[in-house]
Amino acid sequence: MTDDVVYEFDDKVSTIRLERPERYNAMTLEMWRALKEGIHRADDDGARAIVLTGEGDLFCSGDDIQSLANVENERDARVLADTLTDCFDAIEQSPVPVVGWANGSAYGGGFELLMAADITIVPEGSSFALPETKIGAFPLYAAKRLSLLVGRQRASELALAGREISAERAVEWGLFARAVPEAELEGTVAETVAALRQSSPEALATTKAWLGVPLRSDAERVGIRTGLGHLYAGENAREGAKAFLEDREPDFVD
Amino acid sequence: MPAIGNGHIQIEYDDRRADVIIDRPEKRNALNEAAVADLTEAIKQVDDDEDVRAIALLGNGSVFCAGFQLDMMHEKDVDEHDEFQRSFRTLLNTIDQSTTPVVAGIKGAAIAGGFELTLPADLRVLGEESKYGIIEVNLGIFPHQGSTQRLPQIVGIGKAKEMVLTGEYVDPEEADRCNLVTEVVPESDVDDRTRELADDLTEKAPLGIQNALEAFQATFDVPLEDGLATEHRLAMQVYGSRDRKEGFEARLEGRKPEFEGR
Repeated sequence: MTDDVVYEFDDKVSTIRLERPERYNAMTLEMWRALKEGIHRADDDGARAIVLTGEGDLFCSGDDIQSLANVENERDARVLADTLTDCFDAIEQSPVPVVGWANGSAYGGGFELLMAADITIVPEGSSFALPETKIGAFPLYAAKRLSLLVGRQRASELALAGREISAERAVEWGLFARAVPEAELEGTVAETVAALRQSSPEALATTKAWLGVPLRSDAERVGIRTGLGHLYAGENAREGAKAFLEDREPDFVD
Repeated sequence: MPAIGNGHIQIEYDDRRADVIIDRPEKRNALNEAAVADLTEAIKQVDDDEDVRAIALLGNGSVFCAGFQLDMMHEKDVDEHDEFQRSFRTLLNTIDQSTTPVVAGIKGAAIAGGFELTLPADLRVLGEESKYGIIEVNLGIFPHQGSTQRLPQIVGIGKAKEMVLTGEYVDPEEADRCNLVTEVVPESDVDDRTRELADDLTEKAPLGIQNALEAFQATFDVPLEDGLATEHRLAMQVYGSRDRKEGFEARLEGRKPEFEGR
């Protein structure tokens, strides 16, 4: 698969770690797939909890923009949409609870991964944003979930205006479970995992399934694919990615 | 004939058509885990192949697919069944979500799991003497791979209940009348007619076909207005294509269009 996502299984807990710190854990398509595979593997291994975390200063800076620049046609757009959707679906639908351990700030797809986890703990002082629309793309997980999580106006501030928010504000808005001092991060994650272990796996799985139901809408997958296909049928999505890679302002056409 | 994985499935390419062939004639093409895995891989492979514009799903020998291997079904415990059935569901979803059209050719028999294998296909050709139906209630269970969800969408819930609860084969003429299948033909013509129908589809605009199949994914899932909006967005993508200009130009000029899938 890829060395950038590492899976460990110990004492009935699976840890999946993004290990591409030199690129702030920016997600390539292979990394999205490896993460999804790790979620499935944890279930096969009989894990009682999955801990999702990252190596380095940031949890994850989002999609590797080269992946976006590589989208040339509708088929590529569909593959991109499906790859990301499959990963988020795996997290939401895994019978094993997923604990997000944010080792730092997160942006774009990285922010969305922490949202998708069942219980995420973030360090005080970290910050979070969804800058996707600025490069002509769209946050496909947040777009479908955010309004229900935080209310439409706050969702619009995040997803349309690209507002950056603090760890504390994110918790206040209901995006994460808790913001704690950095020194307490590991301990708080350990406490959460210990609490999960006190319940039977089936009880957790059934309850988790029902917690997720109100979030979902009909025919999401085809809607997301269509949305992404629509963006990549035009020029702005490609221009946005290109501009980012060339470290300049994008020149969007109306 | 290149084989996939465990060798239970063959793929044959003919111009822009790919034939995905269940190749276990000694077992009447009954499916086990390896065959299901191979079939899933084969469908993905041909769907991903940009040069393939239609898929014919066929069985080698005199029978399309007799269902799941009986001894396997008898021996597996509940957990093993859970795993196997999940993988079969993944196969059916893969066929359902394929944006390359799938034409299934049923000759001899398509029973139980073999019947349900044909439901996510886009078109079905049925042999006039074939045994086609879901017998599970005679085996202690009920058909649970789409018979209570996809089948009602195709033939209405009344007919679906009749087939599921009685566990009887449907008469091929009846299958034709109730829109379960596209066409009924003599047994010896099934494979050829299936390939022919698939070949016809390869002549159509690939983006039109793909986006129509995408739009159909929403049909039963969303309210009408949302479905129409999705349909519209998918259509606008196709309007921007080179093939749209070519298609209308060819019609105006009275000639056959040359589609390139872009």
